[in-house]
Amino acid sequence: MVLALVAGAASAEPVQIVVQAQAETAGTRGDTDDPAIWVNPADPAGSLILGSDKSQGLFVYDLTGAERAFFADGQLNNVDLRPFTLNGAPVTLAGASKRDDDTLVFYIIDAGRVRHAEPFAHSAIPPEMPGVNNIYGFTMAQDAAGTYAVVNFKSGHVLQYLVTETAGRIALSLVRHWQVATQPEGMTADDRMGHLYVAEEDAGIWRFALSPGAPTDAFAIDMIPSDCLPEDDVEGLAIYDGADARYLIASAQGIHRAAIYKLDADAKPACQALVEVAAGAIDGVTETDGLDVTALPLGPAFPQGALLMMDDQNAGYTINFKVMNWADIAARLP
Amino acid sequence: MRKLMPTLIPVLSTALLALPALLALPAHAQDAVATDGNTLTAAPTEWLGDTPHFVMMGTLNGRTLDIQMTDIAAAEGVDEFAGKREYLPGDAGAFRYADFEVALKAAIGGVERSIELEFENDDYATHPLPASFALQGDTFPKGALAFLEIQQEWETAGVSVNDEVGGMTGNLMLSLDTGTADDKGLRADGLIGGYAVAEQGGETVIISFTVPVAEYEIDG
Repeated sequence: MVLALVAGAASAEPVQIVVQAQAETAGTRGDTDDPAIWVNPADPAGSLILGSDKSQGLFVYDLTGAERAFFADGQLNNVDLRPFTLNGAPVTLAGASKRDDDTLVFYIIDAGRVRHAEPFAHSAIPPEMPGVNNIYGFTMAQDAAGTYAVVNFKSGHVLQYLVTETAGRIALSLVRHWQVATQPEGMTADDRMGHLYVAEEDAGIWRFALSPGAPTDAFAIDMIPSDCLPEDDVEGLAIYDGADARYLIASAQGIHRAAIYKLDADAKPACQALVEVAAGAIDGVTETDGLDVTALPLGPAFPQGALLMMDDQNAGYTINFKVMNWADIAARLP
Repeated sequence: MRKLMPTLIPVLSTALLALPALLALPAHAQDAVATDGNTLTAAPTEWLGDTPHFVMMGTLNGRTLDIQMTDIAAAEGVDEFAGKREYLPGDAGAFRYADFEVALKAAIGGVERSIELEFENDDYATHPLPASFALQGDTFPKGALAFLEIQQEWETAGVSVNDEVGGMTGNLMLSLDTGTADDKGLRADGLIGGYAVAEQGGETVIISFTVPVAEYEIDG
């Protein structure tokens, strides 16, 4: 169990921001959960959206929302990615938590093409830890020591694996583990600051040091109920790493909004805004789950990056991801 | 994953409403939800039998409900009507039958709607049928008590409805619960049928259902 360090609450009420989606991914009848944005450095407008589906596998979409590929890999819960080196060449490594068999699975994104990594699946529960069960949330992270796959479980355990590569094959080694009090899911890493954010769905958001050698003391960021998290669940988390401003974004499922917390070094992030995605040419966002954000330009349609949010209600009883222009949000931020 | 909450969460998405006002709305989207060709002139007074059906009549969260699908096979606009059992870990590796869901996806009044009922008890398997349960506010209650949550979701032009009403009072009469147990004693098929009268804030909704079970889930 971790030590909880609770700081004083932020005082200012969050600004209410209403935007509309600029694009949406093709709807599925499955159980869409979590997106990750792969930014194409050669052609930002040709970037991709990876979307996990808890009943089907991994979908790959372009920025118009059209499906580009589908991997029928089973019950993938959360997905995330980081730059990686494979056989000496730069690629992107994407990982996902797989609920069928409590494994972590990995994909290589190379020149805009997605393929299975070798090996594809890795057991996420060490045999010496029988109390760990029901794989759930997942994020990737990086620091000077390497690339990490961080996974949590409904049992509250958080396991941090170092990801290494030899001759094109990836391997995981457990470098740290700890436990939170209740069921977690959403996680994200602030690589620049060496912070790992973990959300307990019914409790709130905690921050931990990312370094495997650091203590697992938990620093309270925002606990339910609060101005930005008046209702549970808190779901997906992501970092907006802009040149001028940096934010933690949290999926406030209970109020169907994205909460935006201003990041300022090691200070406690203050919730500045709540973003509602209202109906326009594209329908609005309800019961949002996973989300992702990037500050990198994604072509003319998204010059300051984009926010992606899962949307639970669409025609034909489908679920999809909505894509919002970050410039629309930035213009309304305090 | 969204979990049960004994609360009411109205959502009306418009570009003009600030969040505090939005959350304070006591009743919203004052539309009636009614199926076409209704023949019942009053809500049923008992379970309507083992033919798969879904009848929900009354008022809930300020909205009039008159859903009369007395025979699901003959009802129009039904996309999905399915039940699910949920089990929780019990003693000595056993499981407790702690929850069942009744989920309807259907176009009603020209709008694609999702309506979901979720009934909780400590272990339904310990209650011989027919069994009567008093509805109340605690989740997974022991004894002849049950917790009911009703979810309604749909979108129309510019409006998203996403209601969750839980902790209602009233009664559930569970009349039918069939299925084939696997080697763990869990059942992913069969039928669940019952009749409920649920009340909250001066509103009453009456429900009769018989739903085919399509799956089970082990939670916790």
